[in-house]
Amino acid sequence: MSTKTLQGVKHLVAVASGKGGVGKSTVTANLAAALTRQGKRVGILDADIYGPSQAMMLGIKAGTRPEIIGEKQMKPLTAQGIQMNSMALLATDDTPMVWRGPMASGALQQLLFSTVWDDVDILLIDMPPGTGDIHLTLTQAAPLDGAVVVTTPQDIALIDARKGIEMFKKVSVPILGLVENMAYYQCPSCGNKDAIFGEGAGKRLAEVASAPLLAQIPLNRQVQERADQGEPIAFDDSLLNDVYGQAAAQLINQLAGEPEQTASISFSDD
Amino acid sequence: MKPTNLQFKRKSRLLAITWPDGDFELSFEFLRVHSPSAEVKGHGGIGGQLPFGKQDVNVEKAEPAGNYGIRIYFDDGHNSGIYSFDTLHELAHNQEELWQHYVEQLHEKGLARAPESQVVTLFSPKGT
Repeated sequence: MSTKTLQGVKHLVAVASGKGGVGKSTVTANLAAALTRQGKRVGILDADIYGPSQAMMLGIKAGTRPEIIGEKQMKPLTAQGIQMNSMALLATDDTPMVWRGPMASGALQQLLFSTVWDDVDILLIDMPPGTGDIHLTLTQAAPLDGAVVVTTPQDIALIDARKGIEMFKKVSVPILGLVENMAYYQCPSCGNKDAIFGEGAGKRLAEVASAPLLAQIPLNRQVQERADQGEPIAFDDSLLNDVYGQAAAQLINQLAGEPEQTASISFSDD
Repeated sequence: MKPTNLQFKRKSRLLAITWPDGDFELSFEFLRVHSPSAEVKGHGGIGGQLPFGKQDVNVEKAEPAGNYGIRIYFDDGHNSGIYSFDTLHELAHNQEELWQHYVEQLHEKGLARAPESQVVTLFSPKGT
């Protein structure tokens, strides 16, 4: 497997977590919305082959298929200004992908390299949880600019997030930032903040990763409702939008300051 | 640490690597016989084969592997090893020791560096 450049994409960023269920896909969709609001052309590649959710979160109707170009290429779908492609667009909602690793890796490579991205500034890759086949494929085959690691504050999530960070370190993918999801609950009637799952976890993890804490996102009923309705909340002006807006701005900064130094390979006859 | 430049010299069969901490040259043969592939290293300490007869091996092409290394395609068909930059750095810094060890192993097994030749051991230098 060799690293190819990705045509039509300026920056490639993986959104990952060690543990499942921490809200990685919701964060990805909202980060994409916030980046779009800041004038960036954004794409989402849903690399969660086994449990794709981006199509639903961006309000793409079930059964919508990407347009095929020629024999081997696909045009990404555009939803609310965000380009996206996902395994969900190639299968039906109730078809499980009962595949072994190599099949899933092959599917990811096709999604990645056969999609004709249209001049995307930042392509976010919504990763599946864990450190498995898909992660290996992506880190070996794609020229990643870096990764954003999402976690919730519980120790059990932090342990897995740390593993994710170590994985990226091993393959020299820089950690661009951490997102602490479900950081606290704010009572809608009295405004009192309660850190249900504990405090300070995101900060500690950011220190371990030597990366900035991009955002601490509160638990909020609307986040879930809007994600299920296919309209990420970060499209609106709201308290949350501010949080995601700041995260997006920081991410843009990080990417601007991350000139990827690549080793040049050459051949000579001496 | 990442190298800034990797130059494969096909005629002298050397890879010249420029690191922030200095320049190194590794022979293609040295790289080939120390391939980090499962074919050479085995899986979890089990299996693996000592490559031999690779004195004249050349490199057909090399590609980046993610952000962390390169894959080298040798002209004997071997291409399954991904040389991470860390591995290359280690190989470069321990070159003499590793090479000495490799030559000793060859000798013990009655194998040769030159392709398609046999070594007839008339006596062992260790005197056994």
